[in-house]
Amino acid sequence: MSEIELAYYPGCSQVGTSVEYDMSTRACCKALGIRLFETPDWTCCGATPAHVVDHALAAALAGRNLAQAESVGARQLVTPCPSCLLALRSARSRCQNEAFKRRVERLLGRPMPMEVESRSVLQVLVEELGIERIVSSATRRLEGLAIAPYYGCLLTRPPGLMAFEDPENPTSMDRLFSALGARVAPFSLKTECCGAALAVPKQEAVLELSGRILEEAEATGAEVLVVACPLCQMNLDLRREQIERRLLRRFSIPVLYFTQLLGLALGLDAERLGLGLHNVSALPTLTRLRQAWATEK
Amino acid sequence: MQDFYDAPAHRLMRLVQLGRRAEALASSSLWLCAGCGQCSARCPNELDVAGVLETLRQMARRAGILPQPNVEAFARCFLNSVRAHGRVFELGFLLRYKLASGRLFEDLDLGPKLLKLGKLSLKPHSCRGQAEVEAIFQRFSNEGAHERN
Amino acid sequence: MRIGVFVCHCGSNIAGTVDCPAVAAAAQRLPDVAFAQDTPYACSEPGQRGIIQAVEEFGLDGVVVASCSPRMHEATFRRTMERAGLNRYMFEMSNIREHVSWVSKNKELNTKKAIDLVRIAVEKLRYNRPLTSKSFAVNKRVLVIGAGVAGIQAALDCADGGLDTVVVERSQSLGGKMAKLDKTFPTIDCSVCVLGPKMVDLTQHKNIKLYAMSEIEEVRGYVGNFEVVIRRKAAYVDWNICNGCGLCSAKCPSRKSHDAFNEGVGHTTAISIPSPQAIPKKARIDPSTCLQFTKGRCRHCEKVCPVKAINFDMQDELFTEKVGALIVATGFDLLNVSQFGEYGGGRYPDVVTSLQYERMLSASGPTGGHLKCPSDGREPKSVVFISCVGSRDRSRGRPYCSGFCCMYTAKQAILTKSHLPQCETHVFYMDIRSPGKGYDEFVRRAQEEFRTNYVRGRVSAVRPKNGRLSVRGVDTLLGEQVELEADLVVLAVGAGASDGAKELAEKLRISYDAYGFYMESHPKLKPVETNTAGVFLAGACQGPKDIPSSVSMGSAAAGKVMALFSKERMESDPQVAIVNPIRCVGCLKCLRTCPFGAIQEIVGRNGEPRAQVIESICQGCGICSVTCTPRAIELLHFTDNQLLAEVNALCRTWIEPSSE
Repeated sequence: MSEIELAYYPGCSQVGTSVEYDMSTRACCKALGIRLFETPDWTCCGATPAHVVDHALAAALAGRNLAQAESVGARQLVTPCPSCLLALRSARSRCQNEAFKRRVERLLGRPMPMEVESRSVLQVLVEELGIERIVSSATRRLEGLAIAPYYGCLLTRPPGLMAFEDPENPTSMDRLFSALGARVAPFSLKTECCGAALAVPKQEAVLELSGRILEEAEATGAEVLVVACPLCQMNLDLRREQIERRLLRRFSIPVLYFTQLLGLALGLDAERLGLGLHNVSALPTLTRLRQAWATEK
Repeated sequence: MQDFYDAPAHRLMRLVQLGRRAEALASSSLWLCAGCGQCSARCPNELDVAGVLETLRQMARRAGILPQPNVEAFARCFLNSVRAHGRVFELGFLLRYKLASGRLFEDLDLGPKLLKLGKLSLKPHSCRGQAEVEAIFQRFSNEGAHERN
Repeated sequence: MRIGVFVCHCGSNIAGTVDCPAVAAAAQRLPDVAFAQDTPYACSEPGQRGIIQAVEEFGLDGVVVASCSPRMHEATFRRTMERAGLNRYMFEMSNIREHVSWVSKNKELNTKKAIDLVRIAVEKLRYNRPLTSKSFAVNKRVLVIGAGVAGIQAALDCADGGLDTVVVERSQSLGGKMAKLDKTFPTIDCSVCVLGPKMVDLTQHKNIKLYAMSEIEEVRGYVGNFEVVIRRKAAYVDWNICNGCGLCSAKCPSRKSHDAFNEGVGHTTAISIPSPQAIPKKARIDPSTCLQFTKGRCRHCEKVCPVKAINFDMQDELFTEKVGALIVATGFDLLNVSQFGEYGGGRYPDVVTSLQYERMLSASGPTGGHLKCPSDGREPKSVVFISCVGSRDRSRGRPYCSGFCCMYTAKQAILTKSHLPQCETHVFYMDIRSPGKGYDEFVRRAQEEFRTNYVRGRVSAVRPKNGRLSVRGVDTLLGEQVELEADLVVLAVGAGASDGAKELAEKLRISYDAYGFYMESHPKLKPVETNTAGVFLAGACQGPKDIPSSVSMGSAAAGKVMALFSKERMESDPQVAIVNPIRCVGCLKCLRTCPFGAIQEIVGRNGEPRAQVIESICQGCGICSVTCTPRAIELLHFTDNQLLAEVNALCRTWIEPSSE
């Protein structure tokens, strides 16, 4: 079987407040035979703030990383962060317009690489590697663990640009974790916004929106909320107590990155997956799974 | 996010249709849009509503119309941090944001949590690419108005 | 020759961008032109009189009219020619409207082009020959495809008019969509009660032969002489014997069949009669769910049938009917609801389509007319109706309005309130389309008398919440988002062409538009005719419409058919292909390429095979003349000499710029 080799763009969150997403992504990819090589000398893609200022600035900041990847011969780039992915993909898409491209290249000081394609880790795992192959590499089953898969906004929108799944009802995580033995609850707020980057400047908005997601997740009886975005994870996990104070109720559901849950199924150890790095402890989930695995023997 | 808007998205579209520029640019809705893209994905006439709001936001910022100054301050501090370090230095830019916005006591509860988990570094990452990033920003500042369209 | 040229102003339609007097003046100088004049409206009564007078006064033997498209008025002017005593084929038309004045605003260039077009018309006319039509017999029988209200009306009108009528209906019983409705707007008549008598009349009428459970297999022939092959699908029940008692269905153990009549609300048995009011009231077995067919064991129905009507060995049967005209009344189908993911269409049991809701409201429906939520059977306390689901929606490739949804939504809201006075009803709308008699008043009743909350705005999403449904949308008149809690959400799903419409159109050789709706011959003036002679349209197959419009069209189509049959014989178009037997080598390629089967093999003078055109079948398409290698076939009125004359006339000016 040929190995999949991809340029990897971690994004600023993954070396900062969402380091466990990076850890678990790398660990899963290694276990699945996907070789990631970090884009040399990568810099911030600009994310949402760059788009507040100017599209060309944003495209230049993102484009620099595409150029860095190209400089080491990469044609495929993968990133765990949907916000970075949007920046990278829309830079390439907007540069189809020649006038815009020229402006971006003037800012960038080097040619804008149009051949480097960027995708999310989730997309690569599900579409390129395939759920069957992942399941065959799994050493553990998820024992009917009830999960609510939360995709967030940017993985599937804008649908034409992200070219991934149906924005009304994406099912990649549903199918992946179902195949690994989890019980996937029908979660109706799969692609509702958590509030994203407004968390700091407009906290109340994020607490309301993220609060609704937690309410719905717990209402479905899910034991774990599974996410694929560092910003979503932060809003739903780190700001848990803030949400509880605002909505005047407790939420106990832990929020895991999908790569962390996947990693458990692949038999990787909890520390390597950064499972201790959450605000809301993932211990109940771990314990539940470990007990089930122990009785299995 | 519409619950928090002063002008709903459809009102903004109508203002644009009617050329009522000043009112459109003065709206705080522009700054409270999270860019989730739901509106564009649903529009039966296939309009990029999120894109329209984003463009209005850029126009408002350039004109100095900032009804939600904190949102702009957040973006500004973030980008300054990127410019200075190549990758965003979370602690640094958040502190600067607090000074810029005057929100000194907000989110103070989060700091210790992150520190305890070891996820908040006290120093910026070093990054050779910073020089190139600085150059991008420099060229952007030097751009004449005629180059933007 | 003495040719007359008439250049029409068409008011300002042509004259606005073409210098008509100048065109007439230029025409006067052409060879063989004895008279040239511009005229304000050539097709009008004075206009036509002017042509006839000129023919008489100046002894003209050929006429060119430079005006609109021949598709508009060629027939008109040909009749004018005959009234003037000339052969209708000594006439040519130059299209200086659609091809000139409507294309450009440059008067100078337009005038030049118009002059060129008139010149080539005059040149062709000089090579024209008078042609005479032949006539052929007309089979005065009509076949109606589809027995919904439009088809029923058409069939009854034809039959009452004395015509032998064949009706082919694909489903088990008549009535189409109207039979599925509970009540109709704006009178709140019981739908089946008003339609029932017509359905009975149809089955009892001595002039009507009904094929139910049948579809069109093949259509051969041409206007006045169609041959239609009909496939009657096996019902596995002998309908000559079955008396509709329903005992078979009561005893059938297979209870999970898709209930097509009830739009999939609940299930039905493998052997079933669609509804208590079905006409014909006969049973049929669905072989895909019947235990006898799938597993080889059961035959309960056979045992209990009091008249021994069950026959598992039945086969599809083919029948051939010869008719002179076809009326297509195949109706519409709702769009696929599962594409509306944001509303949970097809996913949430309590989100239903308008037709499903109609069955839920109906006393003969799966719930006996008791309004219940499909998920758990509870009575709804709040029903939300969403309009424009898939209509007026460019993003789904359906930019058109489906026309009847505003009205039936108001009706369904009223009926909901009649069933459950305490139930809240809300309608999300963009605009209200209520153009018919009493229509707008009816919508007002829904709002005022029946206290339905009309919210102007679209719904962004329907989501399950605490066992009910949360409907999030916007109220643009208020300027705020709204969130309503509902027990039932009814989607006014847009109307599309009937399933299988495109395939049928291919068999009938009629055109359809991008959505599969059949195309009328002229959107304003010929709504019931198609471009295929002898095939007429009625009802929603031509575009979504309400019941009165469908009924009108049914009668109109019947009227057209009766006009067609009013003559003993029909005139054939003499613009047909003709084989020159001297040049023909008998390869018969033309015979094989003719799409209408209009060429036959004959024995030529020296005993060798030759091709011969059957004039009454030939449609003048010209394919044979292009196929023929020895150039032995020509199309009358479009002969090589005639066409080359046009080319020469056009190109000669380029070579000799000094002559006009």
